[in-house]
Amino acid sequence: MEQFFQQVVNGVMVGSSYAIVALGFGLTFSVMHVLNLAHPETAMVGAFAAFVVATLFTTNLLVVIPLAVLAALLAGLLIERLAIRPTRGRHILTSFIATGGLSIVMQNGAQRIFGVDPVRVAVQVEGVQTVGGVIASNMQLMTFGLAVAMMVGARYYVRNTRWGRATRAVSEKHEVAQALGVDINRVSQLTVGLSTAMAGAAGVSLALLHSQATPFMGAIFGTKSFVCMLVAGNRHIEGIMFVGILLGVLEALVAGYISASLRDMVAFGILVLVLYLRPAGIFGSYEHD
Amino acid sequence: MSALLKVTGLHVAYGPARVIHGVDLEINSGEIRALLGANGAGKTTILKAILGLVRAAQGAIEFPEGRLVRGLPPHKIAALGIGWVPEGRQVFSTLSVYDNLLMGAFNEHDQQKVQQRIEEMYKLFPIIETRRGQIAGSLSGGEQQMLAIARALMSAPTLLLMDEPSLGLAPRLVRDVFELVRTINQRGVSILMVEQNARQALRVANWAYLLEGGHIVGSGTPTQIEQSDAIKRAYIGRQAS
Amino acid sequence: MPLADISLAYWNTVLIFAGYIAIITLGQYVSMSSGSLSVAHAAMAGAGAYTGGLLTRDFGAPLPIAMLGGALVGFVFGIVLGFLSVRLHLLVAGLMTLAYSEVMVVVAFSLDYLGGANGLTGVPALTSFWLVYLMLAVLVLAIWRYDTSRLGYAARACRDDPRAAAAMGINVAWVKSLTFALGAAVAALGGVLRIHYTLVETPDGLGFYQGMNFLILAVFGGSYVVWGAVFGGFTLTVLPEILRFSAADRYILYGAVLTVIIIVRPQGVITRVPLGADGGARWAWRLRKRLMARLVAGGAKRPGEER
Repeated sequence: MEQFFQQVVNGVMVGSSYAIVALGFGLTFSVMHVLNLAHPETAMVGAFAAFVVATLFTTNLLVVIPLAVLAALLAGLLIERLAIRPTRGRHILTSFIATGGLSIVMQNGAQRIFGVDPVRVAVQVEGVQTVGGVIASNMQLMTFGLAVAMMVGARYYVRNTRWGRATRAVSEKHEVAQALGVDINRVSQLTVGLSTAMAGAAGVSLALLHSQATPFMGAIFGTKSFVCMLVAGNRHIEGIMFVGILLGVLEALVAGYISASLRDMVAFGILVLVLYLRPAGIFGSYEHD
Repeated sequence: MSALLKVTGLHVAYGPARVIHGVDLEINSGEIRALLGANGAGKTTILKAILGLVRAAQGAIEFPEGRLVRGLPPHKIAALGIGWVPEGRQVFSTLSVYDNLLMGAFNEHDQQKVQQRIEEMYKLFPIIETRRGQIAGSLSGGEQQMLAIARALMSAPTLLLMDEPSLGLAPRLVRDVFELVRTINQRGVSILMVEQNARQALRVANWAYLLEGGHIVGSGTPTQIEQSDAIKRAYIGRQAS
Repeated sequence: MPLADISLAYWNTVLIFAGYIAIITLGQYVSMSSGSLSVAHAAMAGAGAYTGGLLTRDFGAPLPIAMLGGALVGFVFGIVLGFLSVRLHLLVAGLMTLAYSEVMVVVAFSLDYLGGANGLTGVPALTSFWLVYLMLAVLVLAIWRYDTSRLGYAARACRDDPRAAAAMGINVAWVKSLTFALGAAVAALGGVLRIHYTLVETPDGLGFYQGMNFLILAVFGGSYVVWGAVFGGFTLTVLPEILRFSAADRYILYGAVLTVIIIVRPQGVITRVPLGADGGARWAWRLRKRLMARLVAGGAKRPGEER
């Protein structure tokens, strides 16, 4: 039983990172109707930014994390300008390829700069917390806290702010929103910026947990965040968060009890089953065009 | 007297397909003008071109006369004081009624003014006040139409573009809507209205244009239009080609 | 890089690669003609390759039989996957194909008979330059005919407006599944040709990233006309070979080219619309106009000058 709870805890910690990447992916998709394939790469940008800052300047987390998030955000704004804005309103595959091209550029660019091998991100957070035999390191708890804070922030922004309201309006009927005075490019920037900042937080979390960063780490998030988004549906932020964490837990359990190599497939299988029973996703729908 | 809105030689094309061929129209302050025509004549496209939502291939759009607005992004055109009641209402169905109204005043930063306008709208449309916390998608068709109009008025526009305000409404509500058009106009808002319901529209308008296949084929006072052959042709004769 | 490197044998290899990649991309094109989104065509090609390879290696079958068998297996997988995903939202259906490819990877990985992680080896070399290009020509001709056939028109009706197609009496589910399966069969055929040239098929060739690659090739080339798929498969295979930089630089350039081209020509490079009437030409014209405006008069703009 102890082992079970340990797996669940580990799953929740990792899952929270999937969740905030998926959340950004889903947000960009539901607001701009664009599939940002370069989205997971911004997580990689965050991780490498953490590496650079930690290696060259300071290992103070209060500096490393904000700078990493900022780097991912800036990368996101660049992607928005280069590949999302020009493909907005076109067929979804157009944005898919335009951002896919950028994703290839980013992966190989990182490889060019940092090499193929993982780089070491030397930031340590000491200590663990133990509750009834279940262990969570302070590092895990901190990254979990970061993910939750990001989600709460995103939720607050979308629900309670003026531009958040505009974002929801654009997501539903962008022409009407524009005619009411909403600058759609601004919404696009805010949405992609927020989304990639969250991805950056996930990237830096992963870099800190594993003490390393690689040029191709975005791929870890890529398919999984896509799965989370589709399974949850794009109606509710909480839904995506829930599915992300659930995926993390499922993976941890399968890896712990069955086999590590089956991990990806079993999680996939369960998720596809859910999707087949509820094609619109568990929490919402994809009605748009 | 210089016009509030002046459109000259407007051409619009969707890809290689030209849909609007050199339309001229204008509207003076305080007027209600109607743009009549059958389905597919290009009425909605003209409104969208004025709003900047559809790119015009050629022509000038001035609002007011002397200030060129063609080529500005839609949100800048809206900020100049043009409101839009889109065809089929198009309220933000997942937002609350109250949030829909707030969206209408998106660029009004003075919160006091916003609240004041919301109060005005509640007075004009009492039904909206009772529904304010509801999700707009749960309103009936007539209520959504009221909300769409209220939303457009929230920005205190000087010109209101109304696209088929009576479409899909029960006959009694149709009368209410046209009554409302008059009320709004009496408050100093000029209105350009696109309608298929020509008879009702001609009753409130002071001037009307007839559109057929992307061309203006006639214009004049309601009496002139009603008596002309052009109107029969536009609605019954060759359908927009 | 010294030029001596670029020998005839080298180009022979590159062109054979380009040939069977173009064939698999044609499969992608056929599946997409009815509006399906698939990242499973790498897995379809893989299924064909494994089947064909086993047939020639263990059963001594001649290549034509292997090709037939491979295509058949692709067709069966395709029809099953097609029926499973036909009533789903485009993206959810896309996810189904993704899940299918990942499952195929795991299957290929875990079955010892298929060679596990090392892949299927020991396959005889039976594919030649001429065979690949003969097959490519035959398939282009067949698919070209398909495009103007009843099925082809029905497929495009399903893509453009499934509801209208259904109202016209087209069995949308059947047409979409059938075309998806036909495309899968073509991709599998390409896979059979591939394994008899590369002589090895590994599980990771079946996965999502490979599948996405074929989707990119088809959309890049133009998914509305058969030449688009051939063009996409061919150029994007040969292009990186011409760009003789280090691998990373090559892919950076490749990615950048993808992004730029798809923005300039969102319909893909090859389209039905003649040059001059399409967005690409307009875009180039706007760019020129903008540059001119900037050169003259220091870039002063009036509203109405730009979009």
